[in-house]
Amino acid sequence: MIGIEQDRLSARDIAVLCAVALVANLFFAGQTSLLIAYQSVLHFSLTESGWLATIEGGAYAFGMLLAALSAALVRPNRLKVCGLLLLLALAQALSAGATTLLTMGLCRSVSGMMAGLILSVGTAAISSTGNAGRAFALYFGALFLSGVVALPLITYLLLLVGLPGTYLMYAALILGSMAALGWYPVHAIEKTRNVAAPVFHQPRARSGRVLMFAALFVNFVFNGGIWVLAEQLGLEIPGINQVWLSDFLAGSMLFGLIGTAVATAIAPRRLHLFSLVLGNALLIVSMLMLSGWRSASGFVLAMALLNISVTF
Amino acid sequence: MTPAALSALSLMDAQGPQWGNLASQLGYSVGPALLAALEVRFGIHGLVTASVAGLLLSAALSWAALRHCSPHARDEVLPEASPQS
Repeated sequence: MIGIEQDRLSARDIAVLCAVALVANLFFAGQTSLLIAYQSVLHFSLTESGWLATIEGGAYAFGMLLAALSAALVRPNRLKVCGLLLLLALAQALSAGATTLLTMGLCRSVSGMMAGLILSVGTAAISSTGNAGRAFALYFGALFLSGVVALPLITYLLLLVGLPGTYLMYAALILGSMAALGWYPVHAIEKTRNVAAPVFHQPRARSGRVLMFAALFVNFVFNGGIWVLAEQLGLEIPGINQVWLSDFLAGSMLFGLIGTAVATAIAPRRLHLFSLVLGNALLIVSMLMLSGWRSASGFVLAMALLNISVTF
Repeated sequence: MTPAALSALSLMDAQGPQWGNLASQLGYSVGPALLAALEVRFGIHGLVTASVAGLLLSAALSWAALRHCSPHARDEVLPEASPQS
């Protein structure tokens, strides 16, 4: 048993955290569709569109870096989350009117940074609570789901209302999500802030942290890289065509829900080592299937396993 | 592996999960360029060999990280408690 008093997040607390994170990360997850619109609507080149994605991704990571450096910056507070969501909505509204690379770059960097900070506030709300394992499983399942939702939604909105209209609709969705802020969990943090001492011995914990960061970094180099290359790897397999492949890859992300369900089920047992090793083992099997089983069915199973392992 | 890693990090340090998020994001940014270069240089088999080696390294690093915590925190069985609002 943990020898400290810790509050636990209720199902409603977790649902609100997941909903806010999903809305805040929706357009970051759907950048692929936006890149095409930047070229066709705003007449940016492929390189310029790529830079916009890079700038937004860099700002997202910068928000996370600020969160890591300052606990106070991301300590859960409803007014703070309200301000971050307002700035996120403002960035979308301004993106709707942006026509130059500079203005669009500024708008997307503010959007990326706010999305990263909102994700970090949710992470802070979960991390000091007694049922962090289950909440993290659901939280990252919701983030994964934002990719499943974003790609078809943005494509549909672009066809329906164009690029400026899509950004304005997103701004409206963000403002709408603020209705849930009254239930944003801050009580757990307030109760545990002064009593949550680390379970691990400090000097050993420091090296443990560094090793775990390295493990996460290396894992994401390979699972992220394979996912981005998946379409190209699939097209090299006889019998797989482009249209089927795009549809399948979008649908295959739903397999991530299986990983989320399993991670949520076993989280209360805190089988960290089991989960970490199994997550990497599933990815390895997925990679071996990609290279050793060069058929459509092998590709389908490999992608299903890849998506399960990412959320597990 | 993200939920388990962040849960373990949250037991080490309150700010641990924030650094974990950052490490994941950086890995996700570096991965596509690195793996694309590997695929061009060594083909699909080279790419898969490097990926398997990398993931084995990730598993070993996770194991080593968890060795730095007390055994009961590493694989702890907690009783289910009813959530409170």
